[in-house]
Amino acid sequence: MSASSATPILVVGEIIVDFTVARPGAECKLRLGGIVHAARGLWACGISYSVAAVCPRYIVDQAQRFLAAHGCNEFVWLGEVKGSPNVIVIGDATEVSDQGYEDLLREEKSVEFQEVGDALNSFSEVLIFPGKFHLSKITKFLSATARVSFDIAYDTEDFSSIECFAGRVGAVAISTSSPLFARVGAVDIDPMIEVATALGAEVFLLKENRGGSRLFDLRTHEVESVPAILSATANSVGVGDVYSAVMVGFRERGWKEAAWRGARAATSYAVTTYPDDFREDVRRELALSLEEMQDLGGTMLPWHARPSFHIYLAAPDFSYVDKPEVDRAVEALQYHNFTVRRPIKENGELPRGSSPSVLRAMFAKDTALLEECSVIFAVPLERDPGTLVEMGIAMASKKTVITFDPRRENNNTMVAGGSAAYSDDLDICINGLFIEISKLWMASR
Amino acid sequence: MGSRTSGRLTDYSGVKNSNGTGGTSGVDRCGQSFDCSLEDVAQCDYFTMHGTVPPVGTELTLVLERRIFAVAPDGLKVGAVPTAYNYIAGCIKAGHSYVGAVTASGSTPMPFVSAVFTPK
Repeated sequence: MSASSATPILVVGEIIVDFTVARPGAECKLRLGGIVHAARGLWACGISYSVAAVCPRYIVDQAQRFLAAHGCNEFVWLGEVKGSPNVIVIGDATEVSDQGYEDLLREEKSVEFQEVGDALNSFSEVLIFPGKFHLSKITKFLSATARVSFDIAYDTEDFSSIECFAGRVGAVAISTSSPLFARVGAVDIDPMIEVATALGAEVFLLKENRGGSRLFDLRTHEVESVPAILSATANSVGVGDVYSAVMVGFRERGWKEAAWRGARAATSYAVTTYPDDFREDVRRELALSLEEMQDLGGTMLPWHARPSFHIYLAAPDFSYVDKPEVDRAVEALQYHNFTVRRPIKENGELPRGSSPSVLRAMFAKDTALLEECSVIFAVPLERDPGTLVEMGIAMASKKTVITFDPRRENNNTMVAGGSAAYSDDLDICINGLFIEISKLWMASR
Repeated sequence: MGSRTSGRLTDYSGVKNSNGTGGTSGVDRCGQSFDCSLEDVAQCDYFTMHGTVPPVGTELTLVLERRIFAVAPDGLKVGAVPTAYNYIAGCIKAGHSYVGAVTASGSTPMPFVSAVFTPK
């Protein structure tokens, strides 16, 4: 199955060179990124598309060749990027925490539009990924009747930049990893919904990373929750772009079904960086009906619900311990908007040789804090007795324990068997945490 | 100098390389074995009918009935496959089938079944 419309979608935005640095067990990866991620999604789904690309001169031929080999009908070089190679270096491709993008020479970057005449005037469905260019300058290239959708995850300071499209906006999509979302929607999503409504948008899509996504139909006020399917992430870069593009590509089936198909394509994109593997996976996913996808379920945990589930950090979180793995775990939990309760930070750090009565008082405070929390996230660095006792107390009281054992010092039956998730891979542990808190959230509704 | 994967764009569809680059990994995940702990065991037919869980070694098959379920030889559902394996639904619809076996099971403190599955 593919999208019913044969009219190509026009995808507008920058073409980037994505370079993911090598990590233990994973080689570096060089790929075309930016709107090429979206293009791969459309190609895999058999959706007809063209691109209007903003990129440096040196990459034009390679990008054109690559896209032509992946279903692109027409390549229009819309703008030249000057002052920057448009190369992004990616530190963490799994988005366990902030991906640590390094956009090289970003402050030197500028865009000079090309003379494209009326090359873009025939497209009736347009998806724009904003970049380092003024959106208002795009309007003159497009038909006044074209429906325009936006993925405003990056390079959008505020909604005012898309006001020039008001009244003909299809979808507005944003991710919880977006700086704009952090400023405007992280505490309360309503202000974003209101602005999107004022623009006359049909739908607003909030992509919530491992917690699924929510599609707000701004005409009917219905909210469709689309769960995430969590498995080991190969590369999360561009996954959100695939979601937005495929959703717009399937818009004629209704935005609800389109969102589900976008989400499933995005899931497939996250598990492989090989285009043919991705396409084969998507081909099988497209054979499922909307009802089948809904029945299969997944993990749903809205961004705004996460802080209410407090997570007890069981770890040697002491000031005198070298603990980069603990710090990385805390950073990841906070990145995903969880409330991390750190007993050593909250209740204090005792000096060595403290008296038994002082130790008992601290034990009582820490166990009381543990009792308050919904889930225990344990990071035993060595065979740390304090962490292991906290885990045991939690297991005995039927609390969920997730164990990130980065040094594999505790691969023991009781530790691993008693944990809802146990791994030396933080990605797997964060997935396990989402799955378990999702269950608590579902039960609390 | 430099890595073998950063000198040029290599991820073209249709290109097969033996060095980890190209359009395909050569691995179809529908063709991969996997093991998991089944979900909702206490709510599934097998436990509600027998009051116990199937013993280690019990043969299982996978069926798509709203979710993906592991089914015992008597046709009773033993448990649901975790949603991380939802891609198996597409595999089943594409004609793949799976057999498996119980690798661990017990009824306390709550019913649990672990199993391994392999494509036929």
